[in-house]
Amino acid sequence: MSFLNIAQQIIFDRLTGNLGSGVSLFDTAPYLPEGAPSTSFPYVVMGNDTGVPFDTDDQVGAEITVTLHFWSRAEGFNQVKTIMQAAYDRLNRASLSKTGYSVLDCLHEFSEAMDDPDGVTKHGIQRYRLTIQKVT
Amino acid sequence: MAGTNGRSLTIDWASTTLVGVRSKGYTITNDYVDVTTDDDSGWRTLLANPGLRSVEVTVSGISSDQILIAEMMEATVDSETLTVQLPTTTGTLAGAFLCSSFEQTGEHDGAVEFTATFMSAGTVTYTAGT
Repeated sequence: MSFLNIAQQIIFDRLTGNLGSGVSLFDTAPYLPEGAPSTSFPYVVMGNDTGVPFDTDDQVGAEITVTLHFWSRAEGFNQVKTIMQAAYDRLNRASLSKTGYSVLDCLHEFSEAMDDPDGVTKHGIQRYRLTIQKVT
Repeated sequence: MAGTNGRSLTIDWASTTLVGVRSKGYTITNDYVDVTTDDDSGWRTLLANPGLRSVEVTVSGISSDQILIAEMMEATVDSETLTVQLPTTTGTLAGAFLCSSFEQTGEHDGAVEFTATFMSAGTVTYTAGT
């Protein structure tokens, strides 16, 4: 299993059920933000990963960046920012674990909240960097 | 002869291969005795045998083995057997060494890293590979 998959599983496990009432977390959302009914919101989508080696002589590892996309149709930015804060509280500097792997750290890299071009949807973006080593 | 990757050069400290290592190396030093005189026409002259022979080993990497780090802390006062496994079949260097320096650093957004230097104390034996 790739380190990208491991990072995704770790974050998925960490965030599922912890983003607030009625907030869904998807790998692939069943609908695009544009044109989706407002009752589908808010939701969070994982994606846009990168990975670079974090190896030593005796261990393989990777530094993985994972980008989260937050979508909301509520009035103003309060809802999307509240969900982003919930994700931050669960991920930044968190002690994470995965059987067979050692997670050295999980760090928040940046957050951004903006208006979607459709004029009604709010779009939040966060990126986290995980440093993971495979236990030998 | 084809080149070899750096992982094939390993350092065993007290019979245990150091873990978390990313970079390591060794330096063999022969300090020759300068006996140049006016009679040497300006050319340096050295005695055939070095006055001092020594080996220095440096290691750095990710601090992932706390037991090993504790061992290094103790090694600052006690010598231990250190073996340098040279790449492929070149052989080994082995002898008693002292840990002359040990350093750990940690950035707020990075892993804790270590650097250690070992100095030979006594004869270092080279054993050719097979």
